[in-house]
Amino acid sequence: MNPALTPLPRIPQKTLDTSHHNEILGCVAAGSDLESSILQNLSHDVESLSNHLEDEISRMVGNFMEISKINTAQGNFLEQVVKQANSIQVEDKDMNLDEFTDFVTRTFSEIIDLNIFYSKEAMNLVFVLGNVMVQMERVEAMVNKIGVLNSRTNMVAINATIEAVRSGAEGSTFKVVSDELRELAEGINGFAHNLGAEINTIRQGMTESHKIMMRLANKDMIPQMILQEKTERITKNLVKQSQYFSETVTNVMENTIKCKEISKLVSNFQVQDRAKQALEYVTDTMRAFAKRNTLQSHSLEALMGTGGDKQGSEQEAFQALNQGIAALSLEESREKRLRAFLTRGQDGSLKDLVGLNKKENKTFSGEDIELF
Amino acid sequence: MSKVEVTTQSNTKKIALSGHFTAMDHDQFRGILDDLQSGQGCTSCTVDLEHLDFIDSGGLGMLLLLRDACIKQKMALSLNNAKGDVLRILDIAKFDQLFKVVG
Repeated sequence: MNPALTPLPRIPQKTLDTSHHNEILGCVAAGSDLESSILQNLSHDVESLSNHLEDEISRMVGNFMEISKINTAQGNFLEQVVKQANSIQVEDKDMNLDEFTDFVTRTFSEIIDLNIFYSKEAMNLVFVLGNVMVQMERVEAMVNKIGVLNSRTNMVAINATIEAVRSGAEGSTFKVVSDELRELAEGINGFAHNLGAEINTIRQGMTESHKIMMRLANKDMIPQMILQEKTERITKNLVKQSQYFSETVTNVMENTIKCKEISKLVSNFQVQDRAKQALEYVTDTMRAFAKRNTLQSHSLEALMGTGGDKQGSEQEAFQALNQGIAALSLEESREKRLRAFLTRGQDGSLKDLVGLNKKENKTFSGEDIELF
Repeated sequence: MSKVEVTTQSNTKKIALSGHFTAMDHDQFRGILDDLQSGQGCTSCTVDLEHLDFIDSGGLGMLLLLRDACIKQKMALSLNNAKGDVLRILDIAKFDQLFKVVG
């Protein structure tokens, strides 16, 4: 048989007659007093619980409101971070990361193209100057050749003049021609000399230009190109990292918004008000029952007069309560707690009856909660 | 300085570069360009870079001048067997967009 269904031990039956009226009334009055006392204790505890619950929930709601505020601030901050992470300011213009990557790629590509173009044109100029210098050497050789030919012409003119003088009057006409030829050779000689000097100056300039061009062409631009390519790769990686960072922060921001919504939701529950209201109904009901029992006890005492044995009846009432508790077949510690809970605030005899010391006889607090 | 060897097989002129090909090699490379521009009936030109360890911007410039000369002579041009740093430099300079890069 289930222990919870064990019947209460029978109180030995007495033969009832009118002489037992006072005894019965005393018993009922003591029972009412006990019930009244228990109901008052219960209502007091429920009220304490209600107040405690209200305080705790209010504190909890306050905390959630604080969390909501913090989340709002954090959300705004994260929004700024995402905005900053997604754009870069270049020449007073905000660029998003894709635009920035395109910009960097295009810029470095143009720089490399320019380097290649300059390299090609520098070498082209070196070749052109080289060719011109070869041409200049040829021209110089030609001028030298003119000088040689002119010397020979001059020599021929001198010989012609000598022969004309030998010929006497007959050769005078011939002498005029040879003199003219000699003058012409001298003129050409002067011209060739000047031309040679000019060509020499140009050749020196060309040689110097060629040297300068060679120095420029020898300036290797490959290290800069490699550096530019590295910088481009680093920039792209930084942009990738920034995009990853932005996505992460966006996720955090979304979670923060969710937390804020949950906090708001909890803040708006007003569960403490509802719980308090419900518990107030319970305490009001219990108080009403306690009052009714007290009045009932007073009425019965009035009927009994002064000759009733109320003390004895109280003992019996508590015995009946003890038996009732015992019939629940609770564990020992729990049974003790229940007795203490129901009977605290009674006089010394009651405490002895339930077998608890004064320390255990206290009002409800969070520390009294039994953990299972 | 680079060692430059030029050979002709059937209609193809093969230029093999080795060592360091820089602007300092302009004299011998100009000779190759002059020779190419004189026209010897070749229809294609290949530059073998297998044994080339280094190329500077001047070297790149000379390859571009070779390209111009080949275009002028209507000759096909390819850069073959580049590797290591040389291949990387050709890649950075985006030579694959200008030349047929083989190997």
